[in-house]
Amino acid sequence: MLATMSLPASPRCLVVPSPRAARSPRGVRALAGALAFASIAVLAAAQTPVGGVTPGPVQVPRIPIATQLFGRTLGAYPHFEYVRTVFEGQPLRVAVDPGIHPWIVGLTRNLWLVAHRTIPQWTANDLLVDVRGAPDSVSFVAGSITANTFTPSGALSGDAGLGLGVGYDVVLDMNANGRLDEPDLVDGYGDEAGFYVCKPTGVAGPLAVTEVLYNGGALLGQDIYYPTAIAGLGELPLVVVSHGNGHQYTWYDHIGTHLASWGCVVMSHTNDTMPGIEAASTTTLNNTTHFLANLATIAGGVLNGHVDRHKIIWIGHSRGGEGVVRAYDRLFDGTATSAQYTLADIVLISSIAPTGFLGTNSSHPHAANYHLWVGGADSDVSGCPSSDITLCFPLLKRSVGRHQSIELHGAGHGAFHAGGGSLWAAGPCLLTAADVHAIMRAELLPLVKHYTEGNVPAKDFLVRQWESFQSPGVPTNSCVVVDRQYQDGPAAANRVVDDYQTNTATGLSSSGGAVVTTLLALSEGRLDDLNSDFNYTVSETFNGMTDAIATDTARGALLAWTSSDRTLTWTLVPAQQDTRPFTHLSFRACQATRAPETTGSLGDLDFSVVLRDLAGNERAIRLSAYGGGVEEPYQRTSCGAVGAGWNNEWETIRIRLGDFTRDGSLVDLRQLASIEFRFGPSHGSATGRIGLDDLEFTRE
Amino acid sequence: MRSLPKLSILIGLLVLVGGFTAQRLLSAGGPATGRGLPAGVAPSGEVRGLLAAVPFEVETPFENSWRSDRPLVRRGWLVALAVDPALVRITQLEQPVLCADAEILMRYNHGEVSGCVVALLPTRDDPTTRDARAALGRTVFHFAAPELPERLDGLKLRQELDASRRDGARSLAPAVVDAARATGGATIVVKERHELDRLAAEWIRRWAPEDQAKADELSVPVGQ
Repeated sequence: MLATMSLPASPRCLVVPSPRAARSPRGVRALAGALAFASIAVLAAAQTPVGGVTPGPVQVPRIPIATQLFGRTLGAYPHFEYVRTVFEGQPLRVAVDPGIHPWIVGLTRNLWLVAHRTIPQWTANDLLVDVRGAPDSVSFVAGSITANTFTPSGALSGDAGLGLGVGYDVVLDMNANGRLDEPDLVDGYGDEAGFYVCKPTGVAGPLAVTEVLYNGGALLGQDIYYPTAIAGLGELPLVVVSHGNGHQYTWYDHIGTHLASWGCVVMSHTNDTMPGIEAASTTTLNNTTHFLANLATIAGGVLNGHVDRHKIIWIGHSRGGEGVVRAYDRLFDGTATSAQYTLADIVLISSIAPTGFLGTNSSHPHAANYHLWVGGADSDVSGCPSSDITLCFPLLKRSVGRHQSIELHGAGHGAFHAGGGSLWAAGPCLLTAADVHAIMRAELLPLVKHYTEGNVPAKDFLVRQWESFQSPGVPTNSCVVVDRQYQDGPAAANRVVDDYQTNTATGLSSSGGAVVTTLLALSEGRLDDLNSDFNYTVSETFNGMTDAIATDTARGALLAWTSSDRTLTWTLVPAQQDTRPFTHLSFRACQATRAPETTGSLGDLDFSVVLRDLAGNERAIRLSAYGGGVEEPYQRTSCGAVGAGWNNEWETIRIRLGDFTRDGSLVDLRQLASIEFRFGPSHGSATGRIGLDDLEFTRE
Repeated sequence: MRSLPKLSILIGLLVLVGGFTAQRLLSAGGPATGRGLPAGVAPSGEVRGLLAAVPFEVETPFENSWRSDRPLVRRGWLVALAVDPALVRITQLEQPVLCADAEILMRYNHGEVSGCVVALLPTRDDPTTRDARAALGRTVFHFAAPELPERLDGLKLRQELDASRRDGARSLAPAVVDAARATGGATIVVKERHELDRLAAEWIRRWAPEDQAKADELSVPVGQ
């Protein structure tokens, strides 16, 4: 994968513009490529003696061309998607667009899969060594990227020990010299590898686990999981689990054992949930403090020196799920302190089906990295707008940091713990607790790895749609339907086109550009179902929206079309037209529950996304090309007497900007004029009613 | 003949009050489930009996997390109550709040199968005195409307007590209280709260076996 290219230190290297995000017009690209290839001849000519004196060796920079090569094939335009992560045993695919690199046409060269090296490492040693023993020979032809898609032979290991993902770089040795240099094409020329091969994330890690029960006194009961051989390990992240009302601290083996086997210390504690959320938050805070303060005595002191108090994760379930947010809020406000850790030490909060008792100002994750689990079949914290207490998503949308969620159709409240008993589930196609635990294990590992280690391949679990990316080993029956959302925090410096938080007229985006539409129905408003049920009425625009309660401010759009082609176009203001710093176009979308446009055709909803540049060149991509769409709401009844469909289920959809420049597209990403969504029978689903939010340009 | 209309009115009022009570308190509950209750326990009503009661004193006061003002607890009663299981059904949402007069009971367990709840009743006064024992006999055990207990203040608790009294909540029969005192045994004086917790665990095992896991949790030796 491409990384940000910084000035390399080696005198052998110069900075060259990365061709990854911006594509110059085709003629210029062809010239650039030819120049790159011809530079070797130029270098040779430079060695000719002048005036009888042979000049000394010329220090000529020989920079390879960093580009994207690894990914997966698609059945429709853009025909290939460059991706970061695959699993062991899954097909390997490498592709080059001759439209971007026309100078390769007609050549036959070696394709190398090498162990990832950083730029300094490549500078120190540019010899190509294929991890499979030998490279593949590939021939480039004129035409499409499809015609230039290759399947490397052999299989690659994903065994990274305690890590997640083994990194590999892809090199097309264009000058056939067995070294990485100009004008080779390389995917992974930077800190990040070209791609990563992972083992299934739901399987147990390589470490044996010891579990002990510890009692530090009243409300300080702890069920602790740690690697048995912890004495030989360094400082490990601490995962604290705070259970829900009526649950037990011993009901989270599936979390504790799994994460400990991958190198964490997990402490699940007695949680004072019966009095309420404040009491629960106090036990989260106190148990975390007590644990860190008593490492010298707990479990005979084996943990002492092996817990990283600067990498603490709080996971809470139900009232405990709100409790961990409240605990963070109290640290933020200064109304709670600990001598053992600070706010900055909480690197992730993950709430499982949390309640919403305390409201906007007191259950607020602030800038914490925040994660949310929601079960669509939950019959306790149900998500029905009859009560704010049952709504989980407002906690997510209050976050001003990085935040993400995962919603599972058919998952009941009790399926998230391992205590047995009632699943607290209602609806069709219910998942078993075993199903849910398998998904939890597979998703929790990358989540923890990403936020405690900065693990790169783990991010795919956050940002890619489930339909196209999930770990082997998770249940795959038709009842397993999963939606993921992800949003960066402000530090990512993404470029927001329209988040609907300002400029509330539908004709103006939040970034100040004009919004033009042929849709007959387009509204903006707070993402709050204003009545107490999911019954659909024409007058209730934001039916099914559960992102906000009355005191929250999350806003979005609602639009609809019926059997006619319609468009929605955002004009980019001049400051937004050059998209070269960014890699993706991202937005959130959901289908509107129980609306006739939604229920008329059950299934993923499809439409087209179009980028148009200032010269009028445009290219359209259908969401379905990537294997997914916008999810149909879980077809659960009640919460209103009419119809089926639960809350509107938001998903984040990201499309790589380079995909719009595929196969001869003339779209110039340096000079984009507009983004257009096209709906209707010519562009996707014939009818639809959807929510839309957070249209932005993002980075890898 | 004149009394019949009055009787009809009285019956109607009782039905109305009963229904009002049920509506106020059962918003989070469902049909009552139950098993055989110990002798002397009324089969109906919100709080059906006092199974055991023992005074306690703790040397190291601990915080009462059930009240918004979080006072320190130094003394009180450890009680085991028989209640309508429907009113202690486990949920993450608001639940009816078990109270003694205008004090919240600090429950250890849920008791949703047995209907038996073990709890601490903090008191200001020394529970070992004769007056205090008599006060227990006058105590009205009742359920306040569904809420998070920690959100109830003194004013609200008194209002809920008044409402419960209007709905017919009364103190338990003296014989029931006396029997419970006898079952509870001698006053407990401990240094730390967790010592109380171990006795509570025994009572949970005895009267609310479905909450065995809670009893096990409370029984883990401290420091292990």
